[in-house]
Parts: sequence; C-alpha cells; structure tokens
Amino acid sequence: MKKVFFRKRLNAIIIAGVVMALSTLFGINRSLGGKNLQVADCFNVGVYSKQQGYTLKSIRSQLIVRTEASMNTLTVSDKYDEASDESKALRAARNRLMDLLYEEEASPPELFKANRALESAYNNLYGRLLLLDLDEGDKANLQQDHSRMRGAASQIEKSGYNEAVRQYRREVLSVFPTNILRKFCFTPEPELFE
Amino acid sequence: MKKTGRRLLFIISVILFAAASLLPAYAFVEQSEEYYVADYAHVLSSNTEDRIIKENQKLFNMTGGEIVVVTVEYLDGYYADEYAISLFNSWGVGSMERNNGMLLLLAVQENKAWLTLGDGIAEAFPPDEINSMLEKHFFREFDKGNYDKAVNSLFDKLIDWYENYYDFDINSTNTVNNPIFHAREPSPVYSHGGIRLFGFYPFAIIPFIVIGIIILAIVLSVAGFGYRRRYGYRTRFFTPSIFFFGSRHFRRPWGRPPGGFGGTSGFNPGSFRSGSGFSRGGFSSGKGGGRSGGGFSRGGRSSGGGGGRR
Repeated sequence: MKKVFFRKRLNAIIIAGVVMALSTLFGINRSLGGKNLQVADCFNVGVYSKQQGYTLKSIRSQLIVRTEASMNTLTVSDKYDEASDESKALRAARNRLMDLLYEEEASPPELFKANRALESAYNNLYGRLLLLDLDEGDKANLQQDHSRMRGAASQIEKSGYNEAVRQYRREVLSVFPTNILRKFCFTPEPELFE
Repeated sequence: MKKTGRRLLFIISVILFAAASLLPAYAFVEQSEEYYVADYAHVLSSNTEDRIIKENQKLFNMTGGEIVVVTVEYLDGYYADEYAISLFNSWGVGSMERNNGMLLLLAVQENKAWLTLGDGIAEAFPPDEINSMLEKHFFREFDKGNYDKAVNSLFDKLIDWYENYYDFDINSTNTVNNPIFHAREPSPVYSHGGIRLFGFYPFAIIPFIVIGIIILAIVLSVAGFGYRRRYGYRTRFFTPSIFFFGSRHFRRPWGRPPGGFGGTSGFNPGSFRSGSGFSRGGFSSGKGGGRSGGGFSRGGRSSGGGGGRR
C-alpha cells in the first residue's frame, strides 16, 4: 500500500507542494520574525541614523533617565509637606513605569502610557514646587532635574523609533507577497511608541 | 498722535522686556572650580580629571594652550557646536596672545560631541583632521558608552598635536618659570616673503602672474602659429589685439575672419585671485604669531573652527 502510494505522481506532487509550502512559511517566519525583532529592538538599543552616522539614544535609555530625574525631584519634594499629594502621585507613576521597564513583556504602547502618566504627575509636582519657598540648593537641584526631564523627552521624540517602525511596515510588511504570507507566520510585529 | 505713538512704543517695549525675562532660562553650564574639566554628566573618573588638570597646567605654562573638557547630559536644545563655542568664548579658553585653546564638549545623553578651537590654531588644525581624529580615537569608545576611555584617548592625541605644533615635550623638566617658545608656528611670519600692504600680500601673486604670462604666451603662440600656417604670413607674437580683432596688418581682402579661433580662448586675466585670497594660503593672519616674552594670560576666542557631531 505504501509503495503504491508513493509511486503515484499525483501523491508525489501533493507531498512536494506541502513540503514547499511549509518550508516557505517556516522560512518567512524565521526571516520576518528576525527582522521584526531587529526593528522592535531599536526601542532598546537605539536607531542607527545613516545620515548622521551614529546610533541615536534609545527610548528605553531615556525613560530610565526620566525615572532617575523624577526620583531626584522626589528627594527634594519630600522635604516639603505642601507638595505631599503631588509627590505621592509622582511616586506611583514612577513605580509603574519602573515596573514596566524591567518587565520583559511590556510593549511600547504600555510604556508610552506610563510615560505620559509620569509626565503629568511630574508637571503637577514641579508646578507646585515652583510656588513654594525652596532653599537655593533645592532650587538648583530642581532645575537640574527639570533640565534632564526635558532633555530626555526631547531625545525620545528624536529617537527615530516610530519612523523606523512605520518605514518597516510600509516597505516590508505591506508589500506583496509578504502582506499575505505574514498572516500565516504568527510573528509579533513591532509596535509604535504612541 | 505723536504722544500716542510714543506711549504705544513704550508699552510694547515693556511687554517685550517682561516676556523676555519670563522666558525659560536655558543656561549654559558654569565653569567649574577645577577650570580644565567640568564633568557635569559624571562620566569621568577622578584619575582622568587629575590627569587633565596636571597636563593642562604644564601645557598652559609652556605654550598657552589649554584643552578644557566639559561633559553634560543634554544640550538644552542647542547644537553641540553652538554650545561648545559659547562656553569657549565665555570662559576664555587658551591664551589671549596665541588664541590656541581647545574645548571638548560631550553631551552623553544625546550621543553628541564637539571639539572647538581658538582662532589662533584653527587653520593649523582644520575640521577634516579634527573629524578624522575623533573618528579614530574618540567616537569608537564614546558610542559604546566608555566616555572615560574616549576622553583619555583623545586627550593623548591632542597633547601630541600641541607637542608637534609647538615642537616641545610636555614631560620635559622645564618649569613654570621657563616657558618654551621655539614654536614652529609662522611667527617669523613673514619669512615667506610676504610684506603686507593694505591687508594683503602683493608679492604672493607674483608666481601666479608669471604662470599667467606663460599660459598667455603659449596660447598666443598657438594662435599665432596656426594663423601663420593657414595664411602664410606672420603675426605678432604677443599682441593682445590679435585675440580680439585678428591681425590688423595682414588681413586678406576677402576677409576670412581672422578671429576664427575664437575670442579669448578661455584665458581670463582675472582668473586668479588677488588680495586677501592669498593672505590665507600658508601665511599667518597674524592671530597666532609673535612671541611673548613671558607668561600667558587667558582669554582665547573661537569663531567656529572645530569638528564633531552637532
């Protein structure tokens, strides 16, 4: 029976077709999956700018800077009871962002939301502290940390990550036949930081 | 109406002044107590800082040069070159007499760095050389986050540059009271034969004039020779008018245009530069020249020379 089955031309064609299809899907999964990971990893390591000839700072590194700067701001605000509510809110937002940063499964949209919450809590606290009568050392520290928060926010905007993801989607994932075949590959696509 | 206009102008001025004073102060960093190194980003080790200070003290005493290293996290919206030049000029890096200081700025969170120079050495150390030095000895480690190593490596090369430029050894036993002056800089300046008249070196254009005459002679001789051959009569050799009008004395009556060879044949007497165009080519502009008889005073300025990542 087996010998008869494998001797038939039609069966051979079917088997060859199935093998080819599976190997194609496997190949696509490997190559596309690898490429997806490479693009997604730009979130952690930074995007290489051909025009400027170096790698821009990654969003992850700047989010870490923001958590550090907000921690320093909290050390200033903890001295002033008038800002205790705002300090609590910032602490909570910061802890949320820290948990996500050190959790491998956190996606860029989740980190984006956490960053926005941090920004909002920080702005409230900063505004509150400006109204208080701080001593000179605290004022200087506050300004320095404010500069770091602002600088990190600016670097996040200039990181090029979202542009890299959009370009990848436009030039690779939307092009025939990848746009059809990728549905069978079950590989996670890079997400935008928004 | 006039009064109203003046009042309006006054009010607008007050508003503008108030608005300006409320603008967020994007201040540049302050000069540190150590002067030669300002590590605001906290990326340099204490050994590196000590080394920078000691070698700069020797360098300044010997040549007036200084290599100030500044590290910051962010540039507060400025380009790296703007930031570096502002620091350089406000701190007065390098000697006032020689204007030969350098300032290395690192913005670690922005992956940017800039090396700016005093005007006195900007020509001797052009941007191409600076960028090449930075690529080879600085950015490799800088991009990996090894800022301390990057600064150390570049600092070595910059000291070497000063040693070559001023022909001295920083490790020599000369003390503060015996500064070394035998620089290779063009302070006997005018040994190239340049006497300055009204801001430029007229004798510098003599070689070009000679070359121009030779070219003119060649062109004319070719034109004259061709002419001779065709029409079988002589032409003058150095007659400029032949260029434009042909041979006045030997024109055929049926007037084949002797200017068939074209007008000026591409030679334009104004094609070489005159005046200040030569004053830069290998001659001192006077900024770095001269010899000082004693110690140096600070106060260098930069007009923008340098290289790096903006």
